[in-house]
Amino acid sequence: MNQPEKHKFEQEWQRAFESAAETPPPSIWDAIEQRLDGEETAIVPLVWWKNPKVWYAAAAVAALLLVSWPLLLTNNEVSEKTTSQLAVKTAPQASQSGKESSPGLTVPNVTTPNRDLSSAENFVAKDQADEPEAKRERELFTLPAPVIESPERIAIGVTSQPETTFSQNPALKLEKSAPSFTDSLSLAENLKDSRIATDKIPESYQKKSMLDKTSTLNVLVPHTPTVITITQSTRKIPAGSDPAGDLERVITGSSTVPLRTPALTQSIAAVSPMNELAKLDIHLRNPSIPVRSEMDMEEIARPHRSRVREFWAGLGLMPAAFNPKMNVTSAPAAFASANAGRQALSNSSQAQLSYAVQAQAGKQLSKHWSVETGLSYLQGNSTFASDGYVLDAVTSRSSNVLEDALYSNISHSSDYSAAPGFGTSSDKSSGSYIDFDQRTSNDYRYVQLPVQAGYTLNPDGKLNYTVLGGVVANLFLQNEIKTQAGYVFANTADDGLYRSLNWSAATGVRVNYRLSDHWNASVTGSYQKAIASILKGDGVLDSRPQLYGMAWGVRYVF
Amino acid sequence: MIENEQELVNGCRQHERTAQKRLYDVFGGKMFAICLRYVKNRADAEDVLQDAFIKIYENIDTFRGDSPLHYWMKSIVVNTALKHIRKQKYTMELNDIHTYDNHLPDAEVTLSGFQMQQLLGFIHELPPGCQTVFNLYAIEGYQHNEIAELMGISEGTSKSQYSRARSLLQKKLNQEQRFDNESTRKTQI
Repeated sequence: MNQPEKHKFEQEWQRAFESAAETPPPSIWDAIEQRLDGEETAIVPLVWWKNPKVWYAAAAVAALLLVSWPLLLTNNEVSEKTTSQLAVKTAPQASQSGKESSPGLTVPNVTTPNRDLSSAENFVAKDQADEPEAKRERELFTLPAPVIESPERIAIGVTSQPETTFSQNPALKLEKSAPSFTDSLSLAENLKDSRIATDKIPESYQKKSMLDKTSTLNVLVPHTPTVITITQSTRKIPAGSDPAGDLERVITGSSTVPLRTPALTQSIAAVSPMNELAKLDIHLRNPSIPVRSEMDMEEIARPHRSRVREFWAGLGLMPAAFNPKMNVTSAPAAFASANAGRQALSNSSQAQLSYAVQAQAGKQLSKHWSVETGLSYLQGNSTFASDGYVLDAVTSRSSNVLEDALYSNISHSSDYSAAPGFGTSSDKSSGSYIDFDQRTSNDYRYVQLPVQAGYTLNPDGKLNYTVLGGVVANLFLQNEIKTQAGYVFANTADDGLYRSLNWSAATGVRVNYRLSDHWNASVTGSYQKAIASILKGDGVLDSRPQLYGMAWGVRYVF
Repeated sequence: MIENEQELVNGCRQHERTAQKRLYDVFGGKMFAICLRYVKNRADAEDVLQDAFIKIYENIDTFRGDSPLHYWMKSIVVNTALKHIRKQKYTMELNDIHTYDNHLPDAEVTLSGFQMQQLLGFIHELPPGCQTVFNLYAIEGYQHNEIAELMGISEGTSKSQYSRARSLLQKKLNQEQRFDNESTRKTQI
């Protein structure tokens, strides 16, 4: 505060106020005392919530959930729709088969409240009109009150008799034990409690039924005339017994072999088994009519396979929070000399809104695994806060702690001339430290080359999730320090202050939504952390930037 | 008092309430006068003083005794006042005027005839930006580059604001002096 050149005007004012004092009201001390007491007793049980990193992470997760939740709901609706459509698709086939059936055919009159099964109903109604004599048979299928009945048992006995026994023997009784079949799944559940008994199943079929799990219904499509006797009985299930386990067996003669597999259950659920039984009936009456065409069977049995695309390319924009984590580990010379009594230098970096423009390309390695790379331009904005600045006594030039430390840091290793404004004053001890809070904007520009592996969950779905992990090569372009007074110092890779290449570990989660066959939209939550310091030299500074970002992008799948 | 200053500091370092109270009693008045110069009203000045003393107690460990204690305390009070002003966005009114007069002529000003409260009133009448710059430059003795750092403005703005403040104050002082002279003359007549 030397002011030899100060005019009389200022001296007058200084003199006027140098001994100025005003007694503060007593309430101020009371308030101060109260605050001091509060600070002494205050216990902060959880300080983690004060950490901005936690808030960034929470915001990223919340945004991901916000975006993915409605899409997830849409996806579920689509899945349900697909199942329904598949059920409907099987119905016209049944109807067609019904037309070709013989007049003596008996068709179970299955009442299906489910709209998806209405086609089967139409088919039955048509059949009824064509075959009045079948009424007697149909009465057998009139569904009794199912309330206390056990799950129905459908025993399908395959004999070598060359004709069906349906018309003679009202053995086929389908009792509906559940009040209604509301959907395919409930049908499947109902069928769990069914028992299929076969006699003399050709060995080839037995093998096929056990080996070819994806085409379980093929077991019911014999190429040779076969008579299947379907009998039904009801029984009460004793309390505590497991009817499902009991019924999961195929009785062949006196021996029993397990037939029902999870795949079978799934297939049955998918094709609405009641319709299948109706068509089976048709087939049994006229073996020349196949239960289903090969194509249909294939369609049912074939699992919905994901289309593994080879390559994709995408563009994205990532708003991010970039924090260089700049830490002045030891005080600048001026600080040390001017304020040596102080134990530590208080300084911190704070993230500011940053962004990255990304171009990406990826390759699908397998159904779940992929690898991707890209090119990004990152503008990382941050603020450096310190509790003082250094004033050079020789040049009368002030510099903040970051600036001072930055150039001191590099002076340990190489070209000190990189320091702007300090070329003439290499004696840092000639400065004095002004104890005053100061904020400096500290902005970075990088080109990033990420290489990441991804594991995709639900790859077949319209909405899928990819967990990403990998490394990012950061190519330093520029760092710009702007002081509060408006001085701007730009450092490039050539200045020797920063490493031109540094590596970051990266991880993230991507939510990907399939817009069309080729186009996808995605939201990616990313986190990157530098593996080593981005600064050259091992002086007074350390900086390992971290980045939280939420990338919004589109992808084109080739 | 000087003899006891170190004891006072040591007591504050030990969080002794009596030492803290003593420090407040000794320096509170002077610090409150500084607060009153920087903010526009008494209530704000009280807030600033309160915050400043809390800071002083919290950071007393960092005082190493090279300079007088009241200088160190004053810097904290000024710092706190500036933060308060920044919060109140008084500095938003600062315009980056570069057409300043860097070499102001020495004015024939004598403040001896004015009461401290009167001078304080003149300072309060200054526009907010001018008031802060004037306080920092004329009374605290900071250089313009330091003020620029402190306030986050350019050096040119600091100079222009000070020039404006000085001009306004001179005008005000002249008016008051003329009025006083006229009053005296009338009384004599």
